[in-house]
Amino acid sequence: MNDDFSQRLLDKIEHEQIHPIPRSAILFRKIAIWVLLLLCLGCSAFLGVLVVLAFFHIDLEFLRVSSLGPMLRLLLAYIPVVWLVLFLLFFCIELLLVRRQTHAYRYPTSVIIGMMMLGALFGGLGFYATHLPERIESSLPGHLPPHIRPWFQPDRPLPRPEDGVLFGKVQTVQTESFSLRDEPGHLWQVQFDSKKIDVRQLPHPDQDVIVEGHIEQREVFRADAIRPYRGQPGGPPPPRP
Amino acid sequence: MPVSAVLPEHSDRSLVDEAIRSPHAFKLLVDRYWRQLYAFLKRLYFLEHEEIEDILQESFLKIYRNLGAFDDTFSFSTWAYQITRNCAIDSLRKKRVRPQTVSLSEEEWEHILVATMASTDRTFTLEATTKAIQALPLKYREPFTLFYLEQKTYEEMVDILKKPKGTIASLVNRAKVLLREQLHPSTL
Repeated sequence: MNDDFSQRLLDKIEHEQIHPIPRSAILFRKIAIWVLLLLCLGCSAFLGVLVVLAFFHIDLEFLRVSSLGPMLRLLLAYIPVVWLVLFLLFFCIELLLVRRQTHAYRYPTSVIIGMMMLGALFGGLGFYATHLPERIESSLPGHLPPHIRPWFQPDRPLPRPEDGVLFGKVQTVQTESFSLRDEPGHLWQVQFDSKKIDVRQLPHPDQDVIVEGHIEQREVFRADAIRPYRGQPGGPPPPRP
Repeated sequence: MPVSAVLPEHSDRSLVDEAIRSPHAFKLLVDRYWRQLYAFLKRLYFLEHEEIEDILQESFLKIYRNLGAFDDTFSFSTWAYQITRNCAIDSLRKKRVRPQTVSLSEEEWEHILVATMASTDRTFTLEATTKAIQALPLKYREPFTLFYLEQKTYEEMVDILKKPKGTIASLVNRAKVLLREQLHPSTL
């Protein structure tokens, strides 16, 4: 090869006006990738802990799914595999970004995946322990412009037993019924079919629960589904859409 | 630093900083590394002169455009090898170019022969060695070439090939085993 290779390259650079990418553009690109990586980490952490909670049937109210649109609620409540697929999707994007942006390629892939799983798990447990989603949901409407606030339903009436939702604290539990004191202080007798209700969903005394079903007669409620309720201390559950 | 004050004995890092402002400083960097990268491409991919020149030009233009992204946690040489290797692989994929047979000089093949004998602790003929090296799959030929012919350390190879050290060590060992299997005692 001729020794004038570098000169020909220089001529090409000058003739075609090729310039290095500005450092600011490179920095912006790096920041954008890191932001995307952190978002993916947050999403995978959140979804990961949901998968864990769903697997162990612990506190599905963590997501406050009943405050979301009916379609999304249906998806998240009845099709848990969606959570798993979304978790895997975000995890894969995160893995690609970590390998691209950092020197993680120096380590075996199994180590990288293990560390990321641990990070997602601890991040998700942190969200759960700090009630972060509920805090965001309760403070968000206050920061929104007035014309957008109704979209977050802050002024919707609270669900009533007549709407098919009963929530409160369990008082006593029998074989196929339990007594529940609701927010206004009324005592309800909640009846359920033990064949239809999963034994893991059965409440215990002093537990806050949310019951879906219908009123059979005065102060008697027939339950179709029973879920733990983990709302704000002293606060009502989110309104149904 | 004005271009006239940039001297060939300046470090790569200072030349990179100056090259962002002036392409003439970049020319010094190119002069420093193009022969090394040319030999690397020739030994590893057995490409013809024109293809190597195209790949080298594309690599250096990519390096020039991304000078601001140079990560000085590893050397400029490693970074240049990284980019050149990626450009070569892209070029091979796009053009579906198959490696040509024997486009190296006798001196280069002698070098390869010595390296192969050193790696396998045996003695072979030049002809047998050339066939064996060319028959090696690329994923083994790359680390073998970088280690024995380019004299790169494992740490440098980690950054060039973007694989963990353990994986590279396994690939190099596997390359040696495959070479021994290819090179029968009858070729002595």
